[in-house]
Amino acid sequence: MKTTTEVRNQLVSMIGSTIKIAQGYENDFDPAKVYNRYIKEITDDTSDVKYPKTFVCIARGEQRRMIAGEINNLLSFLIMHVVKRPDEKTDVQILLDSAMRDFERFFEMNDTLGGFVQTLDLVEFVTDSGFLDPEGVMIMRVTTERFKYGGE
Amino acid sequence: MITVNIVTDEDRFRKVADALEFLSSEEFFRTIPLAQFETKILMFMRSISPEDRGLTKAYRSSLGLYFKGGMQSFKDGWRVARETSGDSITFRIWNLLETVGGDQGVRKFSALEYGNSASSFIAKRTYVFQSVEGAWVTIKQGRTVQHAGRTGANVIGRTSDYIAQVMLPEIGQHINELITRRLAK
Repeated sequence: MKTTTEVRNQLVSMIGSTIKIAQGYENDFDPAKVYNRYIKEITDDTSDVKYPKTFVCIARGEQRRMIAGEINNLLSFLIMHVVKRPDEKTDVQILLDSAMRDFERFFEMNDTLGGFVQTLDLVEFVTDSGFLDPEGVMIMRVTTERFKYGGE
Repeated sequence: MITVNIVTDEDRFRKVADALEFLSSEEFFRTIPLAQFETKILMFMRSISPEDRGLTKAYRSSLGLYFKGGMQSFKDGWRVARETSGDSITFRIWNLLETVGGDQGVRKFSALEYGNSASSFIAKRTYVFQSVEGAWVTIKQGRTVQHAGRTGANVIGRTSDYIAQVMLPEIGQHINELITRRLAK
């Protein structure tokens, strides 16, 4: 069974490498701007070149021992995505809507993270609803489930 | 402290404002579920009878609107957005504005807000009331935006503050305390 950080890093890697216009998504994510932890300094850096930025954080882990020695490992991740409108005419919430569609598609199409987990679910999300204009922020909570069987 | 901002223009949207005044009685806020508030506003907006101008429907008379230069009318479309944070709720009443006139042809604006541009007609109208364990208890009118002790249009300082103080508490109650403490440092 993959370790927690391996799952996190796979999530980071796949978000950065998969969400591409060439692959049918609406945005091109730069792998260099998908971080494997929350970095406050980068969050508050409003330089245009820093956007869009994505932070993937391990939020919580839980392990349950099931019958017959099976272990169910549940992980929660917070994915924070920050966009900024490039000019006055662009509605930042439309940018955020577009990113949200990409994430939803990503979660649907990659629900095992390439075999690293058994399930991947977007549990809930919040957005800044326009408060942070010209920035837009969306935080998603996703959970993954892994099963470890006897002898694994 | 719960802050509710109903975004409309106090001068040009007089009739709307008057109606909202009626709606914003203490009893109204005390009893109405928040989810129904937007519906209520929308119902009111839709109850206004526009003047039929053929291709467009004008709200000039029915809303008491007056614009300088050119004929302007509202498309028959309204949108109300609710913005919720840990301790404030903002209702923005948006419309699609269609400007018809002279050489300018037809211009459309959308998502007008906060009177922050020359083409904007909407200013803030603010209602403030407190929440005690989810029940609305008081209402005051005419306050500006308040959030976490900060006041005014620039209530949001750093993005990380907003994430830590407002957004994270809305995500998964059982994980937010730890995360919020960690990120607030």
